[in-house]
This record gives sequence, C-alpha cells and structure tokens, in this order.
Amino acid sequence: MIDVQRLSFSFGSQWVLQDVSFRVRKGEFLFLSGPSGAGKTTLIRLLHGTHRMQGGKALVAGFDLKTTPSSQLFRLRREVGVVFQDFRILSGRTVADNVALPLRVRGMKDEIIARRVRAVLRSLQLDTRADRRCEELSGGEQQRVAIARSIIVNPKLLLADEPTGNLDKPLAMRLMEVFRQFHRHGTTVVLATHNRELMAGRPEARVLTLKDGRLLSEDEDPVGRVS
Amino acid sequence: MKTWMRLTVQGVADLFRTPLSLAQTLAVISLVAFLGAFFVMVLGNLEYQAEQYRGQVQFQMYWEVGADQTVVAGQWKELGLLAGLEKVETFTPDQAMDQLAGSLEKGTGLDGLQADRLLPATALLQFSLPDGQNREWIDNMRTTLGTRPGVERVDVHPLQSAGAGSWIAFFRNLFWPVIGFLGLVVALVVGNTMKLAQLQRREELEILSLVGASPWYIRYPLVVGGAVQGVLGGCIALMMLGLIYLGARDVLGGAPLWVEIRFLTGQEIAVFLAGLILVGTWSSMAALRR
Repeated sequence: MIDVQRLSFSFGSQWVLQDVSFRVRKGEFLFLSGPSGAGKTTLIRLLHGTHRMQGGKALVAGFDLKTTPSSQLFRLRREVGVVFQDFRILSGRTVADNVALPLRVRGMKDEIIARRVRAVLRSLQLDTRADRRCEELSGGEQQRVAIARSIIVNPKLLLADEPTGNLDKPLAMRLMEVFRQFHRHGTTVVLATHNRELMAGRPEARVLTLKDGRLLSEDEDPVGRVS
Repeated sequence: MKTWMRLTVQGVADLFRTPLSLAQTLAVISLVAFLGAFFVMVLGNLEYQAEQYRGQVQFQMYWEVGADQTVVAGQWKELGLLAGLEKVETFTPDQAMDQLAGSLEKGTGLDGLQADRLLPATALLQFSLPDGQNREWIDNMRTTLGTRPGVERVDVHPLQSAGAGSWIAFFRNLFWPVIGFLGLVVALVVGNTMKLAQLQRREELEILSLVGASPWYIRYPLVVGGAVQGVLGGCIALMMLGLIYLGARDVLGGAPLWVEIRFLTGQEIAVFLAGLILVGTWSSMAALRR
C-alpha cells in the first residue's frame, strides 16, 4: 500500500525528513511515533500529496507521488482518508455538511449521502450534533467531525495525524476502536501519535519511530512491535 | 448532471456572498461593455446610413416664408414626376411647426404663433444618381429646382455615401484594436475578481481539494461566476445603450436632421453577450489555473 524509499523533505534549508524508507503492506496498522517536531505531520502530508515530493520515491495506493501531476492528485485523495492535526473543517457549515463533503465531491446521491452521514455520526457519538455549526463545537467534537469525514468514504488507506490529541481518554479509546474496526474490514491505517497509551495492547500494529526527521529502525524503536 | 447543476447554482450564489465586490466589478464591466456596444452601434448605423444613401443625392428645397400654399402644393405634384426621384417628403409651415414643437420641450410658447409667418414650406427630395453622372448632374438639378417660382433656397447633400464611406473605413480600422482592448479590460477585471474570490475562499477550496474534489469541481463554480459577471455586465450595458438609443432616436429622427438610427440587431446582441460570456469564462479559467 505504501512504499517509501529514501524520502527527504526540507522547508528551505531546514531538513524535516531525511532518507526515510519504509513499507506498509495492505491491511496493516502502523503507528508513526516520535516526539513533537520529529517529522510525523510532514510525512503524513507527503503521503497524502498535500506537500509535494522533493527527494526520494513514494508509492501510495498505486500512485507515484513523484510523477503524479497535481491535477491528478485528487484520484489519490479519493482512495486515502486523512485526519489532520488542525482538523481542516469548514466553519460556517454544519457538522453533517462537513462530514458529507467527500461524498458530495464524488457526486453521490443525496439519499445515500444522508444515510452514510447518519451512520458515521452515530458511530462517533455526534448524531445529536448533526445540525450544529462546526464553530459551535468543542475542540474534541471538531476532531471527531474531521475523523468522521475521513472514514465516511471507506478509504483503502487512512492517514491520521494525532487524531486523539484533543480527546479525553475514554473518547480516545473509543475512537481507537473505530480505527480498529476499519482496520478489521481491510483498511490500511497509518496513525501518527506520540501517545504511547494508544499503542499499547495493539498486537496487530507495527510502530515506526521518527526522530529529528530520520526513521529509527524497528530494532532501535524503543517500543518496537507492540505486543 | 445533478452535481454540475448544483455547482452552477452555487457559482451564481457565491457571487452574491460579496455584494460590494460584485457591484464594483459589474460597474466596470458594464462601462467597458457599454463603450464596446456603443462603438458597434455607431459603426452599424454608419453602414446603415451609407447603404441607404449609396449612389443617391438629397436636395432640400425652401420656399419663401408666406408663399401661397396652393401654388406650392401644385409644384410638389410636379416634383413628384421628376426622373430618378426615389423619395419625396414635403412639409407645410404648419407641419414644420408641429415637428419643431415636437422636438422642443413643452411650454416653449410656440402654440400661439402663426406657422406660415415664421417657417417656409419645405420639400426633401432624394434622387438616384444616373450612371456616370455626379457633380454636373447635381449642379443642373439644383439650378432646375432653384429657379421654380417662390423657391428661396435649395440645399444639396451630395454623395453622402462618399463622406460616410471614409468614416466607416476609419471606424472599421479601429474596430478590432478597440474591441480587443475593451475585451482585455473586461478579462483583467473579471480575472482579478475571481482570483480575489479564490484567495478569500482559500481555506474552503483547500479543504475541498483535501477530500478528493477534482480541480474542475473546485474551479467550475468560480468559472460560472466569471461567465455570469460577463453576461450581467453585458445586460446592464445593453440597457444603458437602449436608453441612449431612445434619446438619440427622438433627437436625430426629427427636424432638422431626419437621421434614422437603429439599435443593435438581435444577432449583434447575441454575439455581444456570447463574447462577454466567453471573455468572463476564459479570464476566470486563466486566473484560477494555479
């Protein structure tokens, strides 16, 4: 599903990622771990095509990120759901509108959209908030809206950047369960987090740790394979 | 299809999110489009006049003030039999007074005046020039008309087509440069407005892109907005031109000019609006390319 070879990325003269290589098989659950500033967010953004590749190679869901033109990146994004750390939801629109957005841009019928939005909102305990405007929600609720929007299309690959950062522990655990359910149904999940608690008790998950823009080998990873 | 319809409606609705910006853009487009349409109308009317008078000459005869109207009426009958006469229009002093009063504002005090003590009888004669004849034939005819009893003066408007032809050639040479320049101004204004709209809604458009919207899905409503601005500006310009036309028609169509002017034809209006839609669409697409 993901094949990254010698990936490097810099903002001006500041290297954020250097020589990063890894593979993620279809159906895998991968934790991207590391302290703040390690390069997790940049890596997630590169895998989603939000940042353009500078050095190295990356194949994601069959798309070569080096050669895929910007005008065709939407095809990749239709296969890949993403949750950004800063939510990226539309203020001024309702929760239901925001969650429906990926389906609308795919031209789905209104009745199908309404049904799927209801189901996803219920699974994330947002069904009572469907008609509320997003700016009226708490940070945790906004985060759940962003998650709902990413999973509503049943993506092949789900990229999530600190998806539980604004949630209390019970809600974070419930959310992890949602990700797990998706994973069980065959979705490949890459989840960037610095929260070790989330990784605990996930025998099916692999952990890659980034530090100062470099990927530690799995042997060097202080957590390693979670078990 | 439903998605495109929805995006079209959204494109129009989005324009009204920023009414001030829309009003400013429309004001500029309307003004520029008005200038273009006015130019086309002037050129069309010049050609129309030239066509009307091609190979023709016009004489305007003035009888002495107070001339016996029965004698004048007899002469008008004789004039109607002249060879080569295409059209004749005659005015008794009363008819001339009515025309004059009609072309002036109400309440100018002409009602109590006796027309036959103020204005002469007149006749407007339009001839086709015989082949190979011009100056000499015109001079002879002017003399013939001028020597009739009671005729005070004969004015001649010879070969109007020659004068009009020069103006038409002049305006035709200007046509593409002027239309091109005005089109460029419209394109820049619309393009700039749509670019600003894009920047204003940058976050929303980025989010659309992140959730898998195709570039066309994102740009289409903005392109529709550009086209709608073009057509709205064009309609306003046509309404302004219509008002100018109605005023000019009343002023030019009466004494002493008797110039019949015409508005843009249906085909010209269609091409004009289609051109503005095209310019609006193209400039939006160019502005939103990145």
